[in-house]
Amino acid sequence: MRSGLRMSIKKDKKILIIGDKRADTESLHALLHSHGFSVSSADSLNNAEKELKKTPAADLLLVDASLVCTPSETGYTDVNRLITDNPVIFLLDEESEISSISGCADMTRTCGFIKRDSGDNYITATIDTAFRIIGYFKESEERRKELEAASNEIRNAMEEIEEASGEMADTNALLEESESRFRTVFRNAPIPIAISLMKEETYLDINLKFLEMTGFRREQVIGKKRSDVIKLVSPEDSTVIMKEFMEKGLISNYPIITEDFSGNRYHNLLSAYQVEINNVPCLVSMLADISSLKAVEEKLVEKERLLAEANNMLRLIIDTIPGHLYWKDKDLKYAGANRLFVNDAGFSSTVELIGLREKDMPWIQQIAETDTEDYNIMQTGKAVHNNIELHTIGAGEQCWFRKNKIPLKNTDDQTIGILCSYEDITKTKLNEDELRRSRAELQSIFDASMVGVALIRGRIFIKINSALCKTLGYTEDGILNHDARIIYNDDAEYKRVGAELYGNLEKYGQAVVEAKMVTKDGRMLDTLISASLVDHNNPTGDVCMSLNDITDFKRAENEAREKEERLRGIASNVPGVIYQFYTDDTGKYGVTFMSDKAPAMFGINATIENFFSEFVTRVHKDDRPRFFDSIKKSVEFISSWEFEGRFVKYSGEIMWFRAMSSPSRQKDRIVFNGVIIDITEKKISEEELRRREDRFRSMIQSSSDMIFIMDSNNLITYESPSVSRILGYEEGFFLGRSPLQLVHPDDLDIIMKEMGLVYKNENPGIPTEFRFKHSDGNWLYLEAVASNLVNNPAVNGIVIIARDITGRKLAGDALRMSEAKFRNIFENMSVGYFRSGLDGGILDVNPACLMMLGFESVEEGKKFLKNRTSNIYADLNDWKMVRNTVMAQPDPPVFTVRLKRKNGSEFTAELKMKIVMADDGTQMNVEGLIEDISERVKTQEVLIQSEKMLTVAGLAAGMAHEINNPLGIIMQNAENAMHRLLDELPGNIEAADSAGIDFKKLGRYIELRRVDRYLSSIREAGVRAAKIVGNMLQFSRGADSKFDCLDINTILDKTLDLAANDYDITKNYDFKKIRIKKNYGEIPEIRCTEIQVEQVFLNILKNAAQAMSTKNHAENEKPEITISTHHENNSVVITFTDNGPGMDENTRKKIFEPFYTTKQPGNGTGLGLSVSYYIIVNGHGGTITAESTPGKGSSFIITLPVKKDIK
Amino acid sequence: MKAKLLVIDDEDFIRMPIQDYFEDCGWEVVPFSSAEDALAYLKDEMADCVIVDVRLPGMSGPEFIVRASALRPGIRFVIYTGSFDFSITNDLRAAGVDKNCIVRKPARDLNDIRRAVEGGDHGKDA
Repeated sequence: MRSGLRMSIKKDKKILIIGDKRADTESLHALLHSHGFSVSSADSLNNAEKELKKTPAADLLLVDASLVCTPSETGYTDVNRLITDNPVIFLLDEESEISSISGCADMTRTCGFIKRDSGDNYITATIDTAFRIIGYFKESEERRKELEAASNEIRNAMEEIEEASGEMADTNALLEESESRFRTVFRNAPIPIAISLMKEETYLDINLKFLEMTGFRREQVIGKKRSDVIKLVSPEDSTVIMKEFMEKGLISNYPIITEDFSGNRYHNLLSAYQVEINNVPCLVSMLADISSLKAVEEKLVEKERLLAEANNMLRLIIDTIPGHLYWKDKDLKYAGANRLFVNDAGFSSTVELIGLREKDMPWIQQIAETDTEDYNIMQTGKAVHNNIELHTIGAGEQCWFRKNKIPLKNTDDQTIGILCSYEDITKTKLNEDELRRSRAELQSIFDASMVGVALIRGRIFIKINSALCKTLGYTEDGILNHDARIIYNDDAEYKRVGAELYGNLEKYGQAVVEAKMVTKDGRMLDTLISASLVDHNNPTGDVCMSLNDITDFKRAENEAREKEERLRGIASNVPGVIYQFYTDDTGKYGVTFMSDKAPAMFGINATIENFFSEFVTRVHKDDRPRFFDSIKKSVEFISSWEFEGRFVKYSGEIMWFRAMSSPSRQKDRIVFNGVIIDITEKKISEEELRRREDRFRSMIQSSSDMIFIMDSNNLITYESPSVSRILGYEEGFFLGRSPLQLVHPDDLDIIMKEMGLVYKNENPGIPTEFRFKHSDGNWLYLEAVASNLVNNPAVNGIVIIARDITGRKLAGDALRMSEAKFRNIFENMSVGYFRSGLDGGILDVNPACLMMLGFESVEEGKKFLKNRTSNIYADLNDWKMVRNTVMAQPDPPVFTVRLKRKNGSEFTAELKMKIVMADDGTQMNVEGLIEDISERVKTQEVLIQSEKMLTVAGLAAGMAHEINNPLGIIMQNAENAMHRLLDELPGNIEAADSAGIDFKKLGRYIELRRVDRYLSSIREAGVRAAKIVGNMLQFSRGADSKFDCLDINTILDKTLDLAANDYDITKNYDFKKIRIKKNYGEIPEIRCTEIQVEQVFLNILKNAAQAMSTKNHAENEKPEITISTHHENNSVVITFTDNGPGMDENTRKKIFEPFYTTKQPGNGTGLGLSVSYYIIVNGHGGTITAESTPGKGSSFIITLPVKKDIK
Repeated sequence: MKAKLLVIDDEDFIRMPIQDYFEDCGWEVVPFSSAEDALAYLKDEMADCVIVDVRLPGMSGPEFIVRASALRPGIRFVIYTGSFDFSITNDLRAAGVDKNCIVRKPARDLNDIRRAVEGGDHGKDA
């Protein structure tokens, strides 16, 4: 008997929501409340306990799964305490939480699981289901309670019995009564009860229900083992049961599944407890059949599973829905959403979303609108379909959404929520926009196309563009939907074109046909139709065609053809071959065109393909390399190609040809278009021309004259080779230049004037001289003549022939300069120059000559000399000698002669003369140079004297010393001899006495016999010799001399005194008798050695005096010496002039020679003047000269330098 | 006591007349033909004056003078020489030689030599 559990859902059930998520709790609260449940909530297990203590207590717990396994803050509350006694639905975030819950909670009273993000319906459904289950449980619980109560009763009763039995052992009847009572109770208990022996596990007693349940008869059970009777579907249950029994001592509501003999399965709750019956431990077991419950449970579970499945499916569907889906409850709180939405909203699960309002959403915009919209929907219950909205999300991206909002209505047609779905149609929109755009584009292309485009269906214009209309001169309406015939000129054309067009379309799917059309206003058009099938597989389908007006093109084509015809006509008449050949990038050659004449001209019979190679083999082998090189070069530089070479004809005849062409690049090849002409004849004349030209060229080149050709801009167009040679500039320098820039600026005027005349062809043809700059910067003198050949086509310019006349010019200048130079020399030379005729007549005399001879001018000279050169000779014999020698010898020697001045004075001169041709070349002249060599002579004499002096000095120095000693011996011994012979010295007297001689007598004897005179003469002679030696030694004494600054005049006076008193002088002549005339000038002091200078002066005075004593002076002429001094030219000049006999030239020359004397032998040493000479010249750096006029007197002139440093 | 005079010259006939002359004048004269001999003599003996030539075999006159004057300071020296290029050095000057002590050969007069010995201005050079 199954218990008939009635299912009834009472709406006043109390639900306790235990959860710490307030929002969820609240929404749930609201939801459930709206479903008529009485709801309370607790946010923790502790609070929940408290809540539960209230009355009425909750019927169902909605526990937040997260609270289950985690201890609360205020102390762990064993959740099981709550849930064991109360039905529970766990609120999950994830299904996975189930396993964790089951791990730490007693699942016995679990009625279900709700995921937070579940829909309201789901939730309420689950709760309803739960309550049903609770109901079942309650009922079963009631039943159990009843059972328990019953069993308790039984136990109690049995305890009572036991008690009673202990106390009332003797009341079997009572026992029996009670037993039968018991038995009745036992038997009739509505649940199977069995009593079995603990140990044996056999049945002692069972009740009717048991038998009913098991289907056994009493006798089949009693005494049988439990296991034999009760078939446990799961045999292991018994082990567990026993174990539990052992532990707890009782089993309470252990669910087991039994099977009856017919195989029916029953779900039972087994309760069992131990009892002692007659001191035998027995097991009392009861089974509460909860099969139906179970069945319900199973159904529930199944339903739950289905629900869950449905739920999952739903979830899957809503998550898979391509679009966002969410729904809100009637409070416009989010009650759920699909994954897409959840993700977009930035949540990780629906649970987070549930309960939030629009304002809680992460997007900022349109909250107000959304709320308003939602609110409206809620209010009106009207859906909003296909709302297309533009949102800006994320980083400013724009998205298009199509949104649908549908109010959720319950069975009572109340709006309980809003379901919103929206699709991101951005892509679609964009595509749409794109499509629209490209359509527009295509349309605009179509419209803008210059070419007429049309879509034709069955030869009717379905779609056309404006170009088509324009071309054909129609309006759109004029063509659209009309048959194509209207645009054709006639039927024939229409048919022809149609046939060709459609024929090709069918064959190839496309066609190109030329067609003659006519415009609306009757103009003929040549057109090109290009058509293709819109659908290739449908040849009769639509055709797309384009129409090109090729009228102009056709015209051009015709023109081109005509031109070609013309060209061809020309080409065939050209005396040459027109060709086109190419060379491609691989180096291959080929001919693409040859005019008709080619084969004939070249005698080549080849196809166009072979033509080139055939041609090349016939090109002269010497010219072939050049042929190819020239082509290659022109290819490299894309420069025009010209080639002249020989072609060997078949006959062996050589043909000179000239190929000209201009290359151009065409894709992969260089194409040469050109002409070949036979130039054999031309070549021959060319050779001739070249020969002539070479001749001409060599003429010009070798010409030393320069040839220029100048154009009307004064620029040189030709310069001959000699130009660079003569002017030094590099070859070709003048080409294109104006030579005027190199003309000397001073000559430019003349040149320009000349050029002006040349251009007017009025130039006289006289060469113009001008200076031109050589490349090295020097000015060259050029002489040029110009001819105006501007009108001569061969010349086309002014021909200028120029010659370098620099040499000539310079020579002229040089000559002039030379002449000036010579004249200068002539006028200024110190040597006298004269020219005379052979007769001696003076022709030309230079100033020096005049001066030398003492004349003022040539005229005077001529006059004086009476035009006879011989008059200048002191000795006519000299003249004769000279003349004779000059006449006789072509190169006469230099003559030294005495010449006579105008004033009669003579001087020594050197004459160099020769016979020359007169300037005019008619006669012979005598040309001569006269040089006054007096000074030279003097100098020479001085030099000679010096030399002699030096020789003497050398001798003197060497000798002197050797002589002094013997002299000393001579003198001292002679002196001593005299002393000891003549002087009355004690020693003498003593010695005489001892010798027995009378000293006085001895003395007398010596005097008588003149021995004393001999001895004294020996001594004197020694003295004389010593003096000579001493004088000679003067010469070698240099540094000995002491120089003082002295006044010569003073020294002269001193010397005069000395002279007056000198021993030597007074001996021979009376100096006093000589009149001394002093002519002292203002003279500076000079550095000199007084003694020496004195000696010199003395010597001269002595000589003068001596000389004068030899002369017989006239009465009125007293012997006189004039001494004059004056300052001249940085020297002091002292002159001693006497009026003695003078000296002849011979004497005068020799006067300063050592040992030369005019005196008698023994009179003087002859050294005086030479020593004087030495002293003055060598010792004092002065000069001493003698002059004399025989019979008149002599002069001795001494100069002493005033300079400080003498030697 | 006669004044002692030394005469040093390598030529006998130069020495002799000088010696004789001065002996006639009353001097004691000791002749030497070399400076070394004279120097050796002076080591032991005194002299008042020495007439010495410049050019001597062996030691020269000037050198002798320097040594002799070191040996016997105060001796008067007279140089009787034929050398023209003779000049008084500082050494000689230190020995008391001045231009009055020099007589050039040949002396015109023996008196010239005597004057030099006796220390007077002997007048003109020869």
